[in-house]
Amino acid sequence: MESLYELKKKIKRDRYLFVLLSMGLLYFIIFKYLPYINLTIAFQEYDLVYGILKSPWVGFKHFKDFMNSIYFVRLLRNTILLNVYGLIFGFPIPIIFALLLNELKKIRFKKVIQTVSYLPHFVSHAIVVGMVLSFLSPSTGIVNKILVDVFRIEPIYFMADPKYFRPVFVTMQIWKSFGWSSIIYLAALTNIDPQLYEAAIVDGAGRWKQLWHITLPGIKNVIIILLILRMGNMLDIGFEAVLLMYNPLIYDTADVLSTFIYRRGIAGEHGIPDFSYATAVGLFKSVINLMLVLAANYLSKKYTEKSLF
Amino acid sequence: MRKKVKVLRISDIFIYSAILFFAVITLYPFVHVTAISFSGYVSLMESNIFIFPRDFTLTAYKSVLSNKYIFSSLLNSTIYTVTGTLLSVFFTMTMAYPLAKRHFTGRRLFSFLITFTLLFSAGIIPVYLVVNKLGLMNTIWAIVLPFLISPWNLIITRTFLEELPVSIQESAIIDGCNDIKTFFYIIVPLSFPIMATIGIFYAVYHWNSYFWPVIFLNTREQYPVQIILREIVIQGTVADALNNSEEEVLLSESIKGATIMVATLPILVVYPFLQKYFVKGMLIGSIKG
Repeated sequence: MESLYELKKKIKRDRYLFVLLSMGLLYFIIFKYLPYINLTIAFQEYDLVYGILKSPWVGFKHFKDFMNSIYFVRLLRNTILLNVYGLIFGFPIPIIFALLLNELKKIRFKKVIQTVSYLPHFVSHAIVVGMVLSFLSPSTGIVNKILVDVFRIEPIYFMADPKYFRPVFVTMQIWKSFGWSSIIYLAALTNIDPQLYEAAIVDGAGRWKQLWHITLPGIKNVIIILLILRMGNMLDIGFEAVLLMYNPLIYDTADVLSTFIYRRGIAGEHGIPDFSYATAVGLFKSVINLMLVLAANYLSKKYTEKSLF
Repeated sequence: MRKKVKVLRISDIFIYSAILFFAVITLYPFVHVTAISFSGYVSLMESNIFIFPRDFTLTAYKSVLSNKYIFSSLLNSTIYTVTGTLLSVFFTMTMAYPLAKRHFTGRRLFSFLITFTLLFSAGIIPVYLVVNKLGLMNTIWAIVLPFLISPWNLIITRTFLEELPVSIQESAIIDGCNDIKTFFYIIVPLSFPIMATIGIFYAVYHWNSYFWPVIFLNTREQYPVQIILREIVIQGTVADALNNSEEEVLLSESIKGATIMVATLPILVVYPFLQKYFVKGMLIGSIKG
């Protein structure tokens, strides 16, 4: 334990550093910690006129209402399924892509391909969704053109039928992120000792054997860490993308927690915005998220001896 | 590394074609949209445009560029992006510097307070209410201030600053510089790579941001390009599924394409020059993040 005197002395020594820190700290207090205080309205019948101090308390009413509504199962199912599909189909692709790139010997060609593959990450959701909807358009879209001309089937109304939303959305997310996600694996691949490959070649190991016995074990830890991290973010999907893409016809599969919070709490789906109810749903989401992240961190510590924070 | 190239021919063919497949998948949507944006009415109706435009025309671009909301929204986006990025980079740096100093009093406490905001978010409505209460609605500050410092970028920057040689900073202190002077005269000039990296991240965030501008801005004159983009491109498409007249739908397709191109172009133009910075930043972040 350090004495109060020593602490004072240290603070005096660091006073200029505190000046530098203060501006950022102010930001965190106002825009990150003040909102925590606003979370109390989840337990109130909040009214802008009365404010937090005078609005009536209702305990867990909004949470109960939400859990008893048809939305609870639907939103949770949609949020989790979009994530699970994203994980199953999206997680291996950047790894495969990185492994393929790693096999290229022409450095320039490799660089060009990398640059191209990162591009979608930097294009906005509004643009990507716009392109997807344009390609899927039943009357003029290229996808339906091919379906009709080549496969001789009726045009599909992708955005009017709930069953197409998940595959379309997950494919779009994979397209947007696979290149960018591969960066970490590529970095891990360059850290593998080249001598290992030389020794393997001397021992007569072919490409597959090298991949299996050197490359994959070499990036195993990175894969595990990223997998755990990903599982910790199970409730976070590109919600902006969903908001841009969905429409009332496909809420059944497309509506997720965040879009629902937006519609109820800000857009005011039923007339006026219901701040308290939407905050309660948001708090529910944040708590589940926190538990998932902590579980992920525990797993990471256990299996890779690395803590994420 | 591997010398027996000739023996491994088939796997090489497989690898190159797979790589090419990825590249084509990535680029084709952009090519297709470009082709649509330059194509005329008849080809759009037959929807037989694949790689190259047919009955080449600039009509779509003319109508897009003469739309006053597109022009004003591009200008708005530029203002929001430049202001937001400059402020964000500055305050991220000033906050990261004390936290990067090993002896800084309260370093662990402050770092914890920052990390905590990553683990547990208050959510959309509580932030909305704060912005509302502060009277920032319908101003540029509602776009810029609530996202001033990204905890991720802060952590990346701190990691970068931690690796700067301590000896230079110590000699500056001995020469009579206090921590603020050291920061501006020694640290900032050494930190251009990281400032470029987080600058790109912030700029891309602001340029592409859609959701928060939608809820914080109410007048079309203030809208950034992403919102206008949605109105033209996406809302038009939903109407398509709901049976608008065919003619209306067809005319709008190349306008949508042209709008997409106009909004993407700024990113495409700066993108190749900035490549090396964001890859570096991603790696700094991934090592310690």
